Amino acid sequence: MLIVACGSDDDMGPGDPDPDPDPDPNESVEITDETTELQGNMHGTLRSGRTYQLVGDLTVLPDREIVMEEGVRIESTAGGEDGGEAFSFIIRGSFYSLGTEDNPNWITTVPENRTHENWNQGYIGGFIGLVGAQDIVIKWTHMEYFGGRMRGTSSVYDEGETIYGFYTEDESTRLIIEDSWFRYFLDDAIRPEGGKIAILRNTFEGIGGVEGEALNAKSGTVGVFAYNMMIGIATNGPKTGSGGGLPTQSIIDVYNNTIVGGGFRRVAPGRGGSMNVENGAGGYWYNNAVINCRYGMRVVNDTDYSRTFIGHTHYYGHGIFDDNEGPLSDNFYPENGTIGDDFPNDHIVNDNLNNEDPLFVNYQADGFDQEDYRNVHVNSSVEPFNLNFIGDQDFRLQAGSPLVGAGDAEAFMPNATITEIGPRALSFPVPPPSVDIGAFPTSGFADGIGNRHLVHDYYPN
Amino acid sequence: MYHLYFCINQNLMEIMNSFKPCITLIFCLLSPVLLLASDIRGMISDKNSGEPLIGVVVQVEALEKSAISGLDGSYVIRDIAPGDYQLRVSYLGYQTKTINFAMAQGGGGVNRDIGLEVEDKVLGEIVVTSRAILNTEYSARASERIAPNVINVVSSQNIELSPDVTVANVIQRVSGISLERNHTGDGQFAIMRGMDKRYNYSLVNGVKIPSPDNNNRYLPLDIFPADLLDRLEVTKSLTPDMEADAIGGVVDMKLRDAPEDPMLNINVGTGFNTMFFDRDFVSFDRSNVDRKSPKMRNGEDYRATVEDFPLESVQHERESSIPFYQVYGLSAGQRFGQRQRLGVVAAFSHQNTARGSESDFFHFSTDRETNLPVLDNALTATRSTSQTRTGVHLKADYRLNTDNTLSFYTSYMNLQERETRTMVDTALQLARSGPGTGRIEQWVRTRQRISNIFTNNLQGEHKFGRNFGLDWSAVYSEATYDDPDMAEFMTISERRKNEDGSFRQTDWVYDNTNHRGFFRRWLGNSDRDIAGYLNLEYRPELFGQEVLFKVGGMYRNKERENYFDRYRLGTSPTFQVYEGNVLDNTFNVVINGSPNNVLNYELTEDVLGVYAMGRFRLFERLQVLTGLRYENTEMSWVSNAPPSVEGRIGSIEYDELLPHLHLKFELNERQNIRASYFESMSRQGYFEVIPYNFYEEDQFREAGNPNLRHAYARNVDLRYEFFPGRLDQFMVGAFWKEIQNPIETAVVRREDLSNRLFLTPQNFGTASNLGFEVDLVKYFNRFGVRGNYTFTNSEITSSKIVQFRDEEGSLASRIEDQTRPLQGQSRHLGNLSLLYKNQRTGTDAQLAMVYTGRRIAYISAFKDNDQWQRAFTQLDFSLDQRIIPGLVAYIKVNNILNTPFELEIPASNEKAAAAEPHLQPDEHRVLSRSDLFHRTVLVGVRYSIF
Repeated sequence: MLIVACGSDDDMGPGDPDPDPDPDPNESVEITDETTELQGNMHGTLRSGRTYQLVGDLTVLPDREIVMEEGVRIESTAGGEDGGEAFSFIIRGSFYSLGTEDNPNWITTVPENRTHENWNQGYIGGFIGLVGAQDIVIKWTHMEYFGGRMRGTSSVYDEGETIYGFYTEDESTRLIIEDSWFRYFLDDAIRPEGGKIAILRNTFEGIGGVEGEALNAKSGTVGVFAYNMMIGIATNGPKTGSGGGLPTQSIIDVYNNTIVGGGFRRVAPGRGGSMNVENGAGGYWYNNAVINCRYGMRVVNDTDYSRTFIGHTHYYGHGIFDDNEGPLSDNFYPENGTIGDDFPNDHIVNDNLNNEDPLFVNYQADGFDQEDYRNVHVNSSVEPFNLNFIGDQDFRLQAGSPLVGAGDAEAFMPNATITEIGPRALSFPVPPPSVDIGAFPTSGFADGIGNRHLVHDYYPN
Repeated sequence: MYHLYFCINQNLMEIMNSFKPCITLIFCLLSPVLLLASDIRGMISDKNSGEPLIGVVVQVEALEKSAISGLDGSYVIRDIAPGDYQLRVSYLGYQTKTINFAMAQGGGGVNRDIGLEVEDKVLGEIVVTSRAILNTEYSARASERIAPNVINVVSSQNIELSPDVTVANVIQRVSGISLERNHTGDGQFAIMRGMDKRYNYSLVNGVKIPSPDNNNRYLPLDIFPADLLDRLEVTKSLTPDMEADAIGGVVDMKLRDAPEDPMLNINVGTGFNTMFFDRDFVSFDRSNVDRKSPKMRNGEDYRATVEDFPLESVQHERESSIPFYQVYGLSAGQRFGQRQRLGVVAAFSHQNTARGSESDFFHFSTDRETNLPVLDNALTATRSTSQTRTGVHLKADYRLNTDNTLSFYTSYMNLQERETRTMVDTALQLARSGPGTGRIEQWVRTRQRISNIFTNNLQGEHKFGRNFGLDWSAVYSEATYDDPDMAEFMTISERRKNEDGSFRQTDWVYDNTNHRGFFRRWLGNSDRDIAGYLNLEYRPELFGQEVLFKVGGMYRNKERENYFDRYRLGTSPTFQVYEGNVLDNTFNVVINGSPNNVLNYELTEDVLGVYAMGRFRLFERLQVLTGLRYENTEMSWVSNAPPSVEGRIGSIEYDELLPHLHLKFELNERQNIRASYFESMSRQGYFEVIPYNFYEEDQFREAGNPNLRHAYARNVDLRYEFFPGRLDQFMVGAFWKEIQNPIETAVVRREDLSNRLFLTPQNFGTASNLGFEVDLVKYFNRFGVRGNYTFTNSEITSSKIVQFRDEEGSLASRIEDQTRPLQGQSRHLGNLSLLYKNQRTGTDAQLAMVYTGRRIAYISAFKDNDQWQRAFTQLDFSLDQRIIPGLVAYIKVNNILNTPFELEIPASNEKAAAAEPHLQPDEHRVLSRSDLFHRTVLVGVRYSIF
């Protein structure tokens, strides 16, 4: 390899151009009507009704943006379990996916690859929001087969590692994901290591291969995680901590979420299986439903107790845990010590009411048997289907559900750090908590309260 | 400044007080020995060289009384009745001498120093050469006395008798030097005058050689077997003709030269480490470890399969018998041909040792409200390491005539280490519901490391007429390091409490997650240096004295390659129980190599140095050496990282002009006062400028720093030397250094990277370092004492994090400056060796003690959380016993006290003791690590023919 020496002055530092000329790192290509393939540095608008192929890493440079109108499809065929590395969206500017309830957007693989068997192929890397990234906004968008493997090294990934669905690292980045679907992600779906976040009314299904969480937030991250429906997550649904070296404390309010069948795909014991707060983080954890998960809420004793408040969690566990280790419900508060003995008593209110069947509209809570997860445990598959995906199940509340009216809508004001976004004047009201526990309260839809995903007919074969 | 002055003064007082007995002892030693009645005593030396002669037989024939001269050449024959006598002095190779003396009535005694002349048996022309025997203790002292700058010399005579088997361990006996040890407790790097290893360099026969170190320039000194050495020279103040990149000092390993007379030395020994009386040595089968990774063998596009990763080499095997050491050494030399023009010396050394360590340590974090250390995990690690150290050295010199000599030497050093490690990690915070419960992780590792240094040097020395001289060297060297197929897997288990209060432990299962899986990793590097040196001397007679002018230069081109290829296996199917044999489990390949990792890089460096210097006398007693050196450095690199990684290609160029002034004032023949000033520098490490980026969940990210600058220093030295006897020595010195842009790896907030904290190599303003040294050697007949003491006080200021809860109730942090010593600097360092030598019985014994004061081992990002190594004292012993002439049996016992390596954080244990109070009983410190290495015993025989 040829190594060119620097000039003769006393200057130092990296400077010389690459002998193999790379494309100008500051040039960006505008997306036009002719554009069908996405790669390199691009900006502009992806037109409604069109399908684009992701054929290389797509980078949005600082002060540039890409907008997906409603009804746009982005597909990729890279990745694959043995094929190696996938392409990612590298965001140093802004990215907006503006799907609608009637005409959602899709980021997935091509139709012929889009099968249930290919759940672990990782055709797409993820959104990598680097230092300086401004907005990443995703509305009404289906996202599938994320978590492909990293090409080369970057600030956060070693070569060959699985890529998080959404990664951010700048405290000023705004990450807003609303009413969207996450399916077949091989690692953490959302991994903010800094940023202002609003993760509202989404559905997470079959997330994480052998590890991975719906939300895994680190230091420098503030915001809300509410009205999300999670089923079949490898480890936790939401997990927050404040490690990683950014100055702002991670304070995230996690409320009115429903977590079903979490934590069984993570082999290691004692790792968490529903909700977790640790390492200097804090926030309100209210009105959440934890149903047939491997563990209950875990508060590690390095959490900021003084800023952590837990209330009105509804736990339900049926059957026996891990080869006769005792009833599954013993893994929930107050039986199990996953909430430290020294956690202040007045910071935990009305938790775990009698292990009652939540009485969802269509879910057989007492039909749960951990033996059914044996296959998951041994092979890390997303089978059986009903334990990892919603399918024809319905997690709205029956009239007599013990979750109705059992929450607290007054205890706190959500940590609403984002109200509206700049030039597009997109408004993002943060919905208040609901008195009904879980993601599907019985009222308030008009005010953005409650998950709006009611029909689940989008699964591949 | 006042504050500093006060501090030092206070410390001086403290030290003075604590060393009062020592100081008294020093003065006693220096005072003239009282003459006792009816004894005859004196010194015996070579009349020409003045060198003391050891083992000379002295007889009073009439009385049949005799003595043998001791280590310092002294003799004494006691209780002689008054009268006239003849003293007969005889020594092989010297003319026997007879002296008359009279013992007076009523005391007084007799003092007679005797000079012996060489028995001149060689007829005809003798080739006059600058023959000097440099490997003796006497010549070591002489070199120190004569040198124009501040140096210390350890002779091979001394090394042979010392308990040390590697060069690293020898060097710790020199004043102002402490060691950084490797994972088996063996010395590896020198910290000189409180300056970390990065501020020093090492030479072989005066020539810099590349290091096999994976990241840095400094040479690991444990690769060199001590028995190849002729002598070790430690230079603490540089002269203009030396390469400029040392701030602490320079270690020069002088290998054996061809002797004037045929020589043969054979050394055979064996030994053991006492650790393996208590536990088994754990080895592994490395027969199917491939030196090259699957992608290195098959190309970057190759997709590795699980068959590429044999499991046999990962499985640990317990050895039931104690592993014994094997130590062999052979050196031979002779001169050949007409007028003995060709001299050849060859040496071979081979050491097989088995060592280990037992460690208890903690992973800890810093409490976000109080900034105090908190224990997260308690770990124990057990290592078994077998080391094979091989050195070959060949030197030939050819004396064309009296004015021209050519010499060639080649040496090859190889160190192979094979290591197994088992580590058990118990979580003290996570998944814990009370004492005795929680998560346990077990890490099982096998690893090999192979280091090579191969160096070739062709040298010439030429004289032109009376006044001109020229010498040159052409050097080709290589250093390589390979760490092939390091394999480590992790399994996890949980301890749970039963209803009846007892505990049960779940099965060990594999956890296939990103940073915790089963890794197989190949890494290594190779350096190739080509260098040329040229020096010209002119020694005219000016103003009635010989004046020396010297100019010269050097150029070195280095090409370096680093590789890093990492794979990860996962269990397939996922859920598998580990029952102690990894061969019972099945795996697939999850991460398929890392050819684009930034640690795959090529680097070149060109160094050009030129200098001019002069040496003259200003007054009769004042010797002046002064000069200038210019060095230009160009370093550039290309990494395989993708184009998006900034700094993957880069270069750095800088030059420096460095003035030197060395003054030596000769009070008299036995006393010198020296003062010197020089400027020097220290280069960036190779790895440090590569834009690497390491990420581990919830830890500080690590990043390289392509903008790192070299460090620059001004150095002042003062020394008073007194050589009361021929082997005796007393030196007091002081030094002061100011280092601009010192380089340390610490956690800083990188404003260019969204204000995040990164662990990164960084320049930290200006540091100062000052101290003083006392060096003492004193022999009295059969006994000797060698000791030194160094006081060092350095200061560097860097920014640290203080965490607290702010007024709004949020956890917050601020940056505060903290001033502390340089990493690795001990305030107090001491050495004390007691020597015994009995010529009559052929016994040599040495008890050597090293004291290393507390020093910072690791710098924390958080204020008041640095990890300090506790002060420790290590004791070693060696004994040589002559069996028959030429044959000596020896025993060397190292680490007699089984001194632990201990780290602590000098902070309140309030938070650290919360999880397990019994682990942290001390209120004012938090113990973070304790390693034991046990004792090493080596026995053997040495056979020499001269």
